[in-house]
Amino acid sequence: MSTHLETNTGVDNRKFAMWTLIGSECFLFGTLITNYLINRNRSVTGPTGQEIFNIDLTTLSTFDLLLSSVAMAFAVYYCKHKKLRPMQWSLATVALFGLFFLGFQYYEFSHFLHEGLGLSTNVFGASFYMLTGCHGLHVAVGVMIISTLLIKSLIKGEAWFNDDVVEICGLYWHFVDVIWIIIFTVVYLFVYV
Amino acid sequence: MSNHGAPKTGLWSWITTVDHKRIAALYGFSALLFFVLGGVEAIMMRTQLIVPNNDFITARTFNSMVTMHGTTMIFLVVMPLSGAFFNFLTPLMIGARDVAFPRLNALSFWVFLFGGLLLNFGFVINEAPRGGWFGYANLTELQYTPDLSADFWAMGLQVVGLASLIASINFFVTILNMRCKGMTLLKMPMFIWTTLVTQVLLFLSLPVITIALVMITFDRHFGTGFFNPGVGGSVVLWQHLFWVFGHPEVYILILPAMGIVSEILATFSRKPLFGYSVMVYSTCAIGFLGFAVWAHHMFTTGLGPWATTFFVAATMLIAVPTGVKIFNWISTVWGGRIKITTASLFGLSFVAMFTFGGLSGIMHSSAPIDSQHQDTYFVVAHFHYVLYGGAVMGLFGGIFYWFPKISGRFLNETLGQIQFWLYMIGFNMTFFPMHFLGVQGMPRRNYTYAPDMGWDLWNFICTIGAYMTAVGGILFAINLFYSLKKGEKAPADPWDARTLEWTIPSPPPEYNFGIEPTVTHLDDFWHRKYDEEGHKKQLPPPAKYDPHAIHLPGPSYWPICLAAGLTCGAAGFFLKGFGLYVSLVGVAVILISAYGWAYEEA
Amino acid sequence: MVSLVRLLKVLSFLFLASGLNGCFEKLPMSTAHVVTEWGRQINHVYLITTVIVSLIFVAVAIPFCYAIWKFREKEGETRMPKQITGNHKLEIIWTLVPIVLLIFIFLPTLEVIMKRAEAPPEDSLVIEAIGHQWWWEFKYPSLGITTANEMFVPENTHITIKATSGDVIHAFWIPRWGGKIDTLPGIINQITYVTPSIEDAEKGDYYQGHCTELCGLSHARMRYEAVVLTKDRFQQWSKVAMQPPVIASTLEKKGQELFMSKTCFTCHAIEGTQANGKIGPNLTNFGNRRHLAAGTLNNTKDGLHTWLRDSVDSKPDYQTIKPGSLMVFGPNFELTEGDIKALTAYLQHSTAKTY
Repeated sequence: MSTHLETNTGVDNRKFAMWTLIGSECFLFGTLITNYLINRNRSVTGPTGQEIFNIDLTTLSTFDLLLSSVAMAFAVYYCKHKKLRPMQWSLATVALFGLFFLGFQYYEFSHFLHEGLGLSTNVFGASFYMLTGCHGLHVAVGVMIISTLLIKSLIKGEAWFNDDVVEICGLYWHFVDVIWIIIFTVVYLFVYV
Repeated sequence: MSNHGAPKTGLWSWITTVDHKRIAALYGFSALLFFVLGGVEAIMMRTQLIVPNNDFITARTFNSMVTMHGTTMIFLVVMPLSGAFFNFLTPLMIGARDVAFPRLNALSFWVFLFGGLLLNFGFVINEAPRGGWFGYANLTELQYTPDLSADFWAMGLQVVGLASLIASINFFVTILNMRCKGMTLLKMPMFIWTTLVTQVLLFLSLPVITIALVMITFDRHFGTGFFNPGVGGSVVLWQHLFWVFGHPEVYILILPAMGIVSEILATFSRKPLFGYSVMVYSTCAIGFLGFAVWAHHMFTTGLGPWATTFFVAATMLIAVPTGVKIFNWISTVWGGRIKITTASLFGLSFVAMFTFGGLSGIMHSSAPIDSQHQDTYFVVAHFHYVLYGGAVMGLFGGIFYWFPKISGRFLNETLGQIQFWLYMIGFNMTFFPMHFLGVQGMPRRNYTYAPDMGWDLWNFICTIGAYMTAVGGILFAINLFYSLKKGEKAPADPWDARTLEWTIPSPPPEYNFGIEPTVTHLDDFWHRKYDEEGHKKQLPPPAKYDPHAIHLPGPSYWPICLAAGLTCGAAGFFLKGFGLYVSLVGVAVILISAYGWAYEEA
Repeated sequence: MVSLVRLLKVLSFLFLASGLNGCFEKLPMSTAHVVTEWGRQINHVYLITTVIVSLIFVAVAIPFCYAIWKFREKEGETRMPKQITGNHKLEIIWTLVPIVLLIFIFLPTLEVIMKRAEAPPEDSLVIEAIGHQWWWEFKYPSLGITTANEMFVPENTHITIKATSGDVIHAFWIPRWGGKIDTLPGIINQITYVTPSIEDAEKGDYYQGHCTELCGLSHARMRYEAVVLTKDRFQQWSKVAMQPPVIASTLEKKGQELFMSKTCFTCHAIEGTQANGKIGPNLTNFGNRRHLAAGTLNNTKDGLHTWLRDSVDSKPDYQTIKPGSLMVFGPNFELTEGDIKALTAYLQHSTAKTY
C-alpha cells in the first residue's frame, strides 16, 4: 500500500497499529507486574529480593536504557530533518545501549543464578524472571529492528529517510523504556518499602 | 500488476492471497470444518449420556470431548466465523478497498489455522486435551496431567490467540483509519461498531491469557510452581487470569452476532435500526463492563462477601445495556414489513434465544443462586442459549444473508428453512431440559451418571434433540455445496438492503469499489434508493472507471511461511528429544519470513 | 417491600405449582427440595428472581411474537413501513425499568450474602472435608475421627465444614443443603450449616453429595453422602467409628493377612493394625458404610467383589468402575476368588451396627 494513504484519523496506519499494540502490551506487562506483586512474598524458600538485588548495578542499567531513549529521540529528529550521518550514529547508539542493557541483564541473571535463585527456586524468582525476561525479550526485538533499520540506511544511503518507520520504532523503544521504569520501581525499589 | 482480469484460481492463488474476501472465505470454510469436528464431539458426549452408566466412550475420551468441544466451538468456530464476517464485511461496509494490512490479515488466518490444527493434534497421538476448556490449574499441572495433552491445549491456544491479536489490531486500525468519505463514526453500520468493540476487547484481554498460558507452560516444563500451592503458588490465580480474559471473551463471541442480527433485522423489516446511537453506546457499555465481571465465574471459590457483592452488582448492571439492545431489536421489527426468509428467521430466533439465555444469566448473577447452579447443567443450558441459540444462530443468519454477496448465488431457501426448524426445535429440545437437570442437581462434565438420580428421562430427550440438530447441520452442508455450484444467481442487491456492500456486484470485484464511495447518511445505500417518505428514487447510472488503474497489493507467500514457522516454534517447545531442533527451525523460518516480508514490495 | 415480597412469593408458588411441579420430583440431588436454612434462603432469592425474569420474558416475548405475526410480509404487500429511527423516551424507560427490577434481585441477594458471612458460633462442630481424586475424606478434629465418603452429623446442630483438597480442585456440594464451596489445594474454605431435623430416626437421613469441579477422569464417580443422625446415635457412632476391627473367624484372619501382604496397607489405614496409609480412604469400620468407591457401588459382597475384580484386572486409567483410580494391583498382586472372599469377610465385618 502506498505510504501516503489518507487516513480518517490523520495518523499513518502503521503508527496507529503500533499505538494499538502498545495498548495491548500495557495489559501484557500489567498482568506480569500484578503477578509479580502477588507472588513476591509468597515464596516458601529463599532467596528473596531483599537478599539478592544489587540496586547500584540496576540503577546503572536503568540509566543506560534512559540514555538509549534519548538517542532514539535524536534519531527521530535527525530522520525528520534528513541528516543521514547523525541519524545513523544515533541509531547505532540506541542499538549499542540496548545491547549494553541486555548485557547487564545477562550478568544480573547469571549472578542471581549463582546466588541460588533459579527459575524454579521459588515463586518470587519465577515471577521475577518472567517479568524481567519478557521485558528483556522486548529489548532484544527492539535492538534487532533498529539494527535492521541501521543496515538498511547504511546500504541505501541518502535515499533512505523513512520518517514513519523510524518514528514507529521510536514509539516502541520509548514504550519499552517506560515499562522498564515501572519495573524498576515496582521490582527493585519496592523491596525498600 | 496484472491482477484485474479473470479471477485467479488454483491452490497457489489461495495460499498466497491477501484479498480480504478470499481470506474471509478461508476463515469461514475452516471454521465450518471445525464446526463439524466440534459437533461430532458434542454428539459423542450426548450419545454417552443417553442412558445412565453408558459405556459408549471411556471417561478419558469423554473428558477430551468436553474439553475439545468447548475449546473448538469457542476458539475455532465462533471466533473465526465472526472473523470471516469481519474480513468480508469490514472493508465493504466502510467503503475501503481492503483492510489496513492485507498481508498481516493473511498471516492471522494461517496462524489461526495452524494453531487450530496444533490444538487438535493431540487426537492423532491419543493425547487430546482433557482438562476442560478453562484448563483449571492445578489439574493441568504436570503432576496430574503427565502426558502432552495439556501442552497441546496451552500451545494451541497460544498460537490461536496470537492470530486473534494480529487480526484485532488490523481491524481496529482499518475501521478507525480507512472509512470512506463522509462515514463518521456514528454513520458506521451497527455491525462495524460491534466489530470495533470486539477488537478492543480482543487486544486488551488476549495478553492476559497469553501470560496465563506461559505460566502454566513454565510450570509444566521448567518447574516454576505458579499454580502449585506446595511452593507458594495459587490455584485461584489461574482462575482470575483465565476469567479476566474469559469474560471479555464471552462478549467477543456474542457482539459480532449482535451486529449481524442488527443488520438483518433492519434489512428484512425495511426499517432503520431502532435507536442506533443507543445501540452504539450499549455496545460500548457492554464492552467496558465486560472487564469488570470476571469473578462471577468464581463465586464458589470463597471470594469473601464484599468482592462477591461487587461482582454481583457489576454482573447485574451488564444486563441493562443488554436489555436495551433486546428492546431496540423488537422496536426495529415493530411496524416493519418483515420478510420471512431463512436469514430473518435465524435473526429473529437469535433475539428470542438470546433473551432467554440472558435471563437465566441474571438468575445466577446472584451469588447465592449461583452457588446452587454453578457447574450444573443449569449453567450449561444458560450459556448454550447465549452462545448457540445466540451467537451461532446469529452467525447462521449472517451466512444466509451475505452468501449471495460472497458467492454470487443464493443458498437454497427450502433446505435453509428446514434446517432452521430442525435447529430451532432440536436446540430447544437439547438445552431447555438441561435447566431441569440443573435444578435436579446434575453436575456438568460427568462422563456418566447413576441410574438412581432421576436424570434419565431429560438426558434422553436432550440427546434426541442433539441428533435433530445434527441432521440440520448435515442439511446445511448439502445446501452449501449444492448452492455454491447450482444455486440461483444473485443480483447486486437481492434483499433491498441498506449498507454499502450491496452497492457493488455479487460477488464483489477484487478491488471492491470501482470509485471509492462517499456517504452522507447512516444506511447511505437506503437513502440513495428511497426518499424520506419511502418512495423509490431513480438511482444514477453507475460511473465509469478504469479497473486497471486501481492499485492492489500483490500476493505473498511470506504470511503462510511465517505462520508455519510460528507453529513449528510452538510445537517444538514441548516435544521431547528433538523438540529443541524443531523450535530452532521454527525460529529460523520466522526470521527468514519476517525479513522476506519486510523487503517484499507490496 | 414486605408485602411485595409476599406477593412475589404467592406468584412464584403459582408459577411453580402450575408449570414445573410435575418436573421437580423430590430427587436425591434436587435443589428445589432443600432442608436447611441456608438452602431456604437461597431458594427465597431464587423464587423472587425466577418470577422477575419470567415476567420480563413474558413482557418481551408477547410483543415480539405479536410484532412478527402482525408485521410479517403478506403476499404481494408493498406497504413501505414508517422509517422510525428511535424514541429517546422509550429508550430511557427500558433502561430504567430493568435497573429497578434488578434492585429487587440485588437487595435480597445482598442480604443472603451478608448473612452467610457471619462467623460461626463457638460450639460449632468442625468437620474437615478433604477432596481427593476421587473420594472424600472427612475428619472430626474434636472427636479424633477420620472417615471417608460418608459424613455423619447430628441433627439440628451447627456445623462448620473446613473444605480443602489433597490434590486438584474439587467442590463440596450437597444440593439439598444449599450452595457449594470449592475445595482448593492450599486454601481452606469454610462453609456452615445448621443440620436439618431428622425424618427417619431409625435409619438416619441420607443426603447425596457430589463433586462439582472437573477433577480428572472419574469426576463423575466422586460422590458422597451426608448422614444425619439423632444426637444420641451420633454419640454412639462417634464412639465406634474408630474402633479397631474384631477378628471373628479364620476367613477374616486370612483377609487381614492378605490386607497386609498385598500392600493394601500402604495406602489404606485401619485403626488398631499396622495399616496406616494416608493415600486412600481410611477403612476403619468400613463394614458399616452403605457404599464403597465414593458412592459408586453398594457395600455388599457383590459390590466389593466387583470393585476388587475391576481393580485387579484393569489397566490404570481404563478401569470400568472408576477410571484412573489409584486402586490398582501390579502383576504380583493378583487376587484369587478365595482372596477376595477373605478380604471381603475381613473388611465388611461389622464391628457393631450400634448407631
